[in-house]
Amino acid sequence: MNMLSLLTSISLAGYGLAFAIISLIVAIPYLLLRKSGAEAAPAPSAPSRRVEASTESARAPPPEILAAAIAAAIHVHTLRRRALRERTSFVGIVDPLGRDRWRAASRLMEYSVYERGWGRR
Amino acid sequence: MSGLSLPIVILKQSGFWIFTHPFEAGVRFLFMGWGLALFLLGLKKRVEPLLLMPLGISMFLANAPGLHLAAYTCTVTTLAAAKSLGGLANIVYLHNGLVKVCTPVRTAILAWIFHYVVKTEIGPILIFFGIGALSDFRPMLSFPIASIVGAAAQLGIIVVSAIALSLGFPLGQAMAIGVVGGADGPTTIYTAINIAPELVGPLTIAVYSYIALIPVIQPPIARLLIPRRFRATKMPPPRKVDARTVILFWIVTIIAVAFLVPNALPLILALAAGNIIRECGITEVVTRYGRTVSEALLDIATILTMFGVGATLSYDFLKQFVYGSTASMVLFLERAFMALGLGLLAFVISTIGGIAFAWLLYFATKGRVNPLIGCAGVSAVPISARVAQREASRVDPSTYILYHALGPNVAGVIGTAIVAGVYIGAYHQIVSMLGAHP
Repeated sequence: MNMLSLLTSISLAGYGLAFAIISLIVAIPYLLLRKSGAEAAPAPSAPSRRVEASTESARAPPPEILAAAIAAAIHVHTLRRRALRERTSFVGIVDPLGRDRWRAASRLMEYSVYERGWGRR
Repeated sequence: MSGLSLPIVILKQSGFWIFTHPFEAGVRFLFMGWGLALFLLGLKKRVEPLLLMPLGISMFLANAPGLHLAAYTCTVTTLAAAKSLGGLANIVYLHNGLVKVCTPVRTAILAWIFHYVVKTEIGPILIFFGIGALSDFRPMLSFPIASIVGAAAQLGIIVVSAIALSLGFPLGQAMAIGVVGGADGPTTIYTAINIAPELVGPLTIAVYSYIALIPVIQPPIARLLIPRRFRATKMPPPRKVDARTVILFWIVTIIAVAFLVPNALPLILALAAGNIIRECGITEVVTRYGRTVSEALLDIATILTMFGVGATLSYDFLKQFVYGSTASMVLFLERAFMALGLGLLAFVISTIGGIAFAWLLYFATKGRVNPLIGCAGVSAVPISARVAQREASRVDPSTYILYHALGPNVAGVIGTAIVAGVYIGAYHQIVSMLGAHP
């Protein structure tokens, strides 16, 4: 018998034994398990839509919403600054580069935003 | 003492003396570069850092000129005399019934780590002990039919060992190269130590590198062999398995392996002992022993085993196995690199074998088994099971097969140990019958 055929027979014996032993070792406990009537484990599945909807409010906002909120805040801030410039240049009471500019800006912002409205500028 | 000889004496004991032997210097720097690359791969890219970092450090230090941390002294004697020396020395078979008996020099600390941790098989067995405490074998019992995929995925071992033998590798080396296809690090080390100790280094690097590369190697094979709609196959919910069933499973396993494949018993016994600690249900034992075995002991065993394995990839270690000449060392290095390539082939064939059997189960169970769990038959726990889950989720995010895939995954660990045990037993039988190493 040459070495290759010897190795092939040893390999096939090993492969067969792996099948036999694994089948045996899972079959015996499985059969006993069936006999004892064990119930099915909860399936590791995705949460249902109902559960998802009920927990949605408790979750932290996803990063896209946060990013959108930050972008909106930056936009409002830009509008405020523009409103400040417009109002001060018109009224002439506050130096836009002075110390009170943020306080003034917030007041003027209220005026410009609520009075003039979004998108009508 | 003449004034002229003093600089030579100083130079001889320094690392610079290596440059008077250009070939030796070349081999040392090759291994040092390889070790450094493995170290950086673990450090920077986080590729199996716990394994590759100590392995890289050990390779670097074992080859550093002038240190000789893996140096051996060898004497030529008869086989009978060598056997009387005991089991720890490396025995290299020469012609005419003579053997070379090699033992580490007193200060070669890395060689001693190899001898006491790796060659005694303590390292791989302790790693299996830790893996047992870390792994959950319930998926294997909750959907038993899928676990047989773990046996089918050993196909790469038998195909590649035959290919390696055809390419001219000796029988022991061919078998050890094949075992890489099982994708199990400790089993590969254990097999190589028993039947091809000269290849333990290259094969360890091969197996751990390919385990790290599983997320790259397996998905293209899975996509090629499984059409898109089959990858979304949903599997029935697994059954509940209690701790008593797991312990019964281990008792059956130990008895079966002890009678059929006794050479695989040390590994299986260690795996069982670790897992029984996890499953025994005594809270104090589980929390203290379980944590120690699966964390501290596993880490210590891994680090020391990798230090020992790294020492085998050194000029000092390898020169005891090659017969002095430069040409034989070059031939050995060629073969080591060829073994790395064959290991990859074994991985691919094992994955194909697993998927083919999973297809068979798909048709036999009328579509209750997702063919992707075939990927998980190779025993890289849990990377290959994760790959199966990821591929299924890509097609349908509501498909969950991770738990089912872990069954063949842990069954693969047992399957690889069984095939390796058959190889080790058969090889020693052949050696004792022939009276020489084939």
